[in-house]
Order: sequence, then structure tokens, then C-alpha cells
Amino acid sequence: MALALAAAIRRGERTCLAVAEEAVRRARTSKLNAFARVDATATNRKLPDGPLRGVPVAVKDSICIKDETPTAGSRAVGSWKAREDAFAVARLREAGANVIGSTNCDEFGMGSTGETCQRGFTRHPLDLRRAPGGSSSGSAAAVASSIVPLALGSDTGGSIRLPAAWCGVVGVKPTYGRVSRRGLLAYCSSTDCVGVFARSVEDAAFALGLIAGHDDGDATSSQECVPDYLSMLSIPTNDRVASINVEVDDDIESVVAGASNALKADQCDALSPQFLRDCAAAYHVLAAAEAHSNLARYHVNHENPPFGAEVTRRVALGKRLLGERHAEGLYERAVDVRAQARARLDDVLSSVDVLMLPVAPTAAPKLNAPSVITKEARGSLARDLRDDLPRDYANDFLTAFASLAGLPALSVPFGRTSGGLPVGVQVVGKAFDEAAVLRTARRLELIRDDALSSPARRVLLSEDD
Amino acid sequence: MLQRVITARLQAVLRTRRASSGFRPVIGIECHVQLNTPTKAFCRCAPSTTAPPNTRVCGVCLGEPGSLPVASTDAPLLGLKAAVALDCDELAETLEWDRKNYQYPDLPKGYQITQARTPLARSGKVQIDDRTIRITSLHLEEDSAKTTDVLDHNRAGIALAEIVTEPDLRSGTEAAAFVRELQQVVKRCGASRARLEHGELRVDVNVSVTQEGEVRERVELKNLNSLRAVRLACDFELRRQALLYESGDTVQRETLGWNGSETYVMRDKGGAAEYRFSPEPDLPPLPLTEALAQLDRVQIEETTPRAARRRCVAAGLDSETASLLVDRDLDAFLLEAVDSGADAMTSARWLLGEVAALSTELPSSFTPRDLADLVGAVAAGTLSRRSAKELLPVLFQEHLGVAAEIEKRGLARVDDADFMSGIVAEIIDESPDEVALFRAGKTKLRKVLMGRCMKRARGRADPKKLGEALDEALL
Ligand SMILES: [Zn+2]
Repeated sequence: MALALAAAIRRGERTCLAVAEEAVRRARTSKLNAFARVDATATNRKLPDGPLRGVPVAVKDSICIKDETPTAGSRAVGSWKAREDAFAVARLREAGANVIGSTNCDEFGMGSTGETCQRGFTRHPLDLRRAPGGSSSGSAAAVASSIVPLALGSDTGGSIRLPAAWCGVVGVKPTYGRVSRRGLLAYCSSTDCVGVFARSVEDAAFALGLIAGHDDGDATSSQECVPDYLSMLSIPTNDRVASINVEVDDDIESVVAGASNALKADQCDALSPQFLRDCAAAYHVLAAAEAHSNLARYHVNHENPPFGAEVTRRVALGKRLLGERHAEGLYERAVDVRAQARARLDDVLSSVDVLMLPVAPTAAPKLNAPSVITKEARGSLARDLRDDLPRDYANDFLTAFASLAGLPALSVPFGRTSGGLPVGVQVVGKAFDEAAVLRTARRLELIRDDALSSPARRVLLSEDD
Repeated sequence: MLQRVITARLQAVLRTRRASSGFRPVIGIECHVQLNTPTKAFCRCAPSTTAPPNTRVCGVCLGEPGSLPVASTDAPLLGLKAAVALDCDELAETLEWDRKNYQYPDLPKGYQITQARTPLARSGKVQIDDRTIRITSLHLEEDSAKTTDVLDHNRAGIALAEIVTEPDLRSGTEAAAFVRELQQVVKRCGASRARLEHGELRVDVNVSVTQEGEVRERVELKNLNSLRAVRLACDFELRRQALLYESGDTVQRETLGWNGSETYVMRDKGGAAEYRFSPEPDLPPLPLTEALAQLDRVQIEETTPRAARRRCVAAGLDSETASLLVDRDLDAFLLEAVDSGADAMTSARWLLGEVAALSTELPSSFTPRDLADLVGAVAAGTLSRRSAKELLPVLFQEHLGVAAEIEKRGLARVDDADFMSGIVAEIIDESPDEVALFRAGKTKLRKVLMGRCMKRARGRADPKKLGEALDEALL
């Protein structure tokens, strides 16, 4: 894992060269199609002396690396090369991390399985016939298969939490504005967040601390000071936890119920399943509208940019929702749902510190899985938008609300399905209270690892090393 | 297409016939003013209208992937200054940005950052003589790239203020007068350099005609880049529309250009319905509390052309001369000369006459003190008008001051009787034939002899006294 590896390098037990060579070799030979590009120069790079010196990291391919093309899983970016590292990449490099390559993702982040990537889909590390989750599919798969201990991703409606849950790693979406978006190819600018994947909460907390902080180059980045997340993990607290009841697969429900019981969580009834689905629908309206605008730059040189089907569909939807379909009022309703989500969560989180719920209704599905049909209440936004929602829209049900409200959220692995697939528990906190979210995840991690050492609870067996 | 044909058919008619006066012109103006900020609106590039193409660009103003705009605070400050100078009653308390989404090659991001929901300011006015032209709104936005033989992104992202009037203007002349006044307002408050020829001020005009209060379709005239173009294009368009209606045709809503002699149909960017607006998610709303507190309204009012005209009139000018000086940016110079003791009207006549004839721009060597001294010397009779004119080019170079230059060049008027009789004696000596003929009765020759005397005196002698000396010598 990242911090342990950095310590081993500092002690001279491992060399940067050997670590880099192994990571590059494994990235190249992996059958997962996690990587869009592996940087051969990673093995002879002079790394600054920092706390992550020599630790190999991977970066979602929608995040700029100087002099490289961030494809964002698309052909539309062409051969354009980034002028500079994205803010988060620069911060990791300053800490001595060794960026070994870029990872595949759903095209411009628009997908929840990794399958819209125009460079081919990434496969699930535990079952090659399954989807690793998206859109940060390659980053999740690369960390889960231990090619790298840390990776950057981005989460717009669930794009870090979902693949983290399905692949069985920790994935953190920080508060909107906590990490600069400079150098991230925009999808839905009002909810896009850069975040991290790691194999432990400690690693995730440490990496988040490195990339968080104000950036003059992003007007939405916060001035709020960054606490030492790592040291705050071990502070004993009385964090009040509440769990949200939702309709999910039985396997998922029992894992999350286990987590809920272990933390003696209260029930939170203020967020109904229909409201969460409306949040997901609202997210899709706003995201389509912003995507149509953000991706317009790829039209400037092409009449019809070589977008894939899903991106084409969402961009066209956004254009219509702001244009000829504006009169239907869907955009305004989505803005309204967002305001409601913010108000309700403000209210709920005034009496509890963190919320707990599943990340997705199912564990990792088979590739090319059929769409899930849901019953939506009459008059709900989700119902009125039904024909315009993506096929895999059900995967966003449980994550989009936190994106809409801009709250910090993460997925921490806490068990498996009867079929052995990882299940993640989602923890959502107050704005800029990543510390409480990470601390809760750390408690779950300790409970899980405790259970692992007790022979009676083999059911929770994970393949963590 | 049809429009093209009609326009062609109208050409001949327009040259020979004026439209009947039953139609009332309705003109509204939209001006784009480049704000004089040290950086572009959303990046650190330094704006320039003269730098080689694509040398003032970065990832942000090129709209590269992963780039983010960061709003400068200079643009809203200058925008607010202009708004106060335009007498705007409503100033926004929060700066809000929107995106205007449309595809055009000069728009690198595929959208323009603008203000669609809440303009920076509303409800202003500009006075043109005794007419009040209402300003609807002033909002900020970013400029697009410029299409020349190459697509030049130096202009992309430069901060603009778009100023929109109500349809209060009634003729091409009035429209041009408005633009000139607006130019003065934004220039004098420091918001823009506002040079039309550099595109720092660009004018679009909406023109329609009404008859008996009936509102008719309007056309938009784009890119009128001189006051003359504004005047001529408006008048042409008003006549064209009136003639179309007279001949039973209608006016199409369209965008027209001006080629110097007629309006023509431009390739359109698409009607207003094609624009899709959305809030700009990259730029959070910015409270303007601090900027508003910083605004010195009294000081800004003092910068306006109307205040300048007031000062000129107070110094003793008639209002017409005051306007002329203000339009030519000569008012401050004149007032300084008046402060140095010069007579206001006389100085103004010199400035607008002899000085302007010599050069369109005042050289730094020519100071208000010089003008005051020059006008003073003429008034005191120590310098003839002719000598003063002779001295002017000297004052446009490095010089010693008016008094010293008069002395050095011997330009002072001489009243001395010996000086006069000396010149007369020389001329009579050199012109024996003319003198003889004069004495024989050809009295017309006095004029010739007087001319020679004047020339010899090089303007230093009082013509009357010199004449008397000549007459005496000829007796
Ligand atoms: Zn720039």
C-alpha cells in the first residue's frame, strides 16, 4: 500500500527503480485494459524527496498530464497535448509520487460501467466477464489489481464511488471545491470532483490531503483550510451515524445492514428512495446540459466530433433541454431538485455527522448487462424523464444526490456478495467534513479486518494483502 | 435571395428618390466596448489589438480541454465606472455569469461567457443635445476571436461591455452623435480606449420604421466601424425600408452589413432562438459590495463629457465651441491655457483653427502655457497674427518658450517710427520705377509698394502705422 511502500523505499528496503519497473511491467501486461497509456520514462525519472517518493500512481485519462493527450476515453480530443499537469497531478508529483500512466474511463465520464470508453472497456479484476464500474474504471481496476496503490479519478455523479465499490477498493469523492478541477476535462462542471482510489482508508486520507486545497486557477476551489486527514483518522469521536434505507439486492442490503449495526447507526427517513432517484434524474438533466456546453469545444474543429453513442445522446439531450425542449421545464425542475437536495441534506446533516447507505443497488454486473427498469412515482422528475435517461441509470440512484449537493462521499469495501463480489458501503458527510467521512470509513475498515481475523466470519473474507 | 434582388432593384430608386416622410425611423444601438483591463477577462493574457496574430493566447482563451476561466476583478470595476458615467440607476450587487451556447468558428469553447440573467447595470441615459437616449443595460462578456485571413485568438477573451440602448434614436445623424458621445463617455472614465478603427468600440444598429405607431420588423446592421458608416448605413436602411413598404413589400428580420454604399445580407450566426443560455458553473457569483463601495461617483461624473462641456462653458465658451473641443479631446488643454491667463474663446479659436490645421495631435512640446502666451502676445499687440502663425510650428518642436522664441527670431511687433521709416525708405529706394509712376498718378501702385513694405517688415509692423509712414514718404 502507498504509505507502507513509501516507508519501505525510505528505509532502503525497496528502490524507486524496482518499484517503478514492476508497476510499468504489470500495467503493460495486465489483461484488464485498465491503462490507456503507460509511461516508459517512469523508470528513469528523478523524483522529488516527498512523503510519497517512489510510489507509483495512475491517473484517470480525463486528467491532464503535461505533454500527453488526455483522451478521456474519446477520440474527440484528437492529438492535442496538455500544456501542464493538472493541479492534482502536480501535487502528487511534488510529493514524490511516480505517475506511471493514464487509465481508461467512460467517454468524458459518461457511463457507469466503463463500457462507453472508445478505447475498449476495462474488465473487472476478479471476473473478466464483469464490468469494473465507471466512469473511473481503469483507475479502480488498477488499484484493485495492485498495479498501483493509488490512483486519481473523477466523480461527477458517482464515477469514483461506484467502481470503488464494485472493485473492492476505497474511493473518495471530496466536497465540491475541495480539490481543484484545473486540468480535469470538464463533463458537468458544477458536480465534477477530482478524487482518489486507494487500498486503505489511511492511504486515501493521506492522498486526499495532498491534492486538496485552494487553487487560484479554479474559481470554484475553496479557501477552506485542509486538515491533516491522516492524523484525524485516529481521533476518538462520537460521530453520529445514520443509515438511509433503500431498495437494493439482498446481498448488498445485508452487508450494509452489518455495517450499520456495527456502527450503531440510527435510521434516517428524510431521504426517500423516490427522492434519491429524482436526484439522479436531476443530475442527468444538469449533466446533459453542462456536457452539451462543455463538449462544444470539440465541435469547433469538427462539424461532427467522433463521439460515441452515449456522449452523442447526452450532448444532444442537453442541447434540446436548453433549446427546443426548454419549455417543458425539465431544466428548471432539475435546478429545483438540486436546491431541495441541498436543503434536505443540510437539515439531515445538522443532527447527524455522516450518512451511510449502499453505493449501488447491485454488485458488479456482467458486461453489457440489460437495463434495469424501475417504477417511478407519477409526477416525479425521474418518471417524466424516463425516456431520456441512460440505460445504466439505476447505477446512479444512490450516488447522484451527494454530487448534486456537493457533499463529500466515499465507498469503503465491507464484505462480499454470496458470489464473492466486493460490496462497498457509502459514507456521506457534511461539506468540507471529509475527516468525519474518512474516520467512519476507517472504523468500518477496522471492524471488517477484525472480523477477518476471526475464523467464524470468513464470509467477509477479502483478498486484501 | 429575394432580399438580394430587391436590394439590387432598389439601388437605382434610392439614388434618385427620397422616401416619403410618413415613416418614423426607430433606431436602437448595441455597442461592444473593449474594456481597458491589464489582462483578458478570464485569463492572464495581456490584450492587444496590434500584436501579431495568436501571440496573446493561452489554454484558457483558446478553450483548451481542462482549462478553467478565472474572472478578473478589473472588468467589473471598469464596467461599473462606465455604468455610473452612463447615469445607470441600477447597479448589480452580485456579478453573475452565464454561457451563451452556440457554434461559430470564432468561438473557441463553443460558448461565450456573458451575463444573460443579471446585467451589471440597467437604466442609464445619454444626452444628445436636448434629446435623452435611454440605456437599457450594460453587461459584461468576453470577446470572440477575430476572423481575418487567419483566425486570430488575440481578441478571444478580451473583456467587453455590451451597452444596449432603447430604440430612441431617430436618424443616422443622431445615431452617429450617440456613438460619438458614448465613445467619449467610456474613454473619459477610463473604461476603454474606444478606438473604432481598432475595434475597441464596435457598433451594431437595429433599424426599423413605424407608420402610425405600428411596430414593424427590424434588421440588425453589424460591424459599423466608423461614425460615418453609422450615419450612412442607418439612413440608407431607413430609406430602403420605407421604399419597400411603399412598394408593398415587407422587411425581413435579418442581419445586414455595410459596404460603404449599401447594406447587404450577411451570413447569419442564427436567430436569437438558436442561442441556448445556461449559468456558468466555473464562475461562482461574486458579490460586488467592495467594488461598489470603491466607486467614486462624484469623481466619475467629473470625467464625463457633459461635465467637461460644463467646465468649458463656465470658463467662457459658448456651448457649441465647448462641444467641439470636448469631441476633439481639447477641453482639458484649453482649460489649462485659460488657467494660465488666456482668453477662452480666443484660445479655443486658435486650437480649433490654426493649431488643428497644423496637426491632428498636439505634440508634447506644445503646452497650454505656450498657447496662453501666444494668444496673450497677440492680444497685447506684441505679436501680429501673422507672426503668431509663423511661430506655431516652432512651438510644435523643442523650443525656448513663446517670449524667448519671439525675441530670438525678432518676431516682436515694432512700433518704432524709425523702424517704419527705415523700411519705407529701403523700399522706395529699391522701386524707383513704381514710385515714379505712382507720383505720375498711377495711385494703384501704392498697394504694390505697401505689399513690399509689409513683406520686408515680416509682420512685425502695425500695417496702419507702416501705411502712414509710406504715405508720408510718397508725398
Ligand atoms: Zn489567455
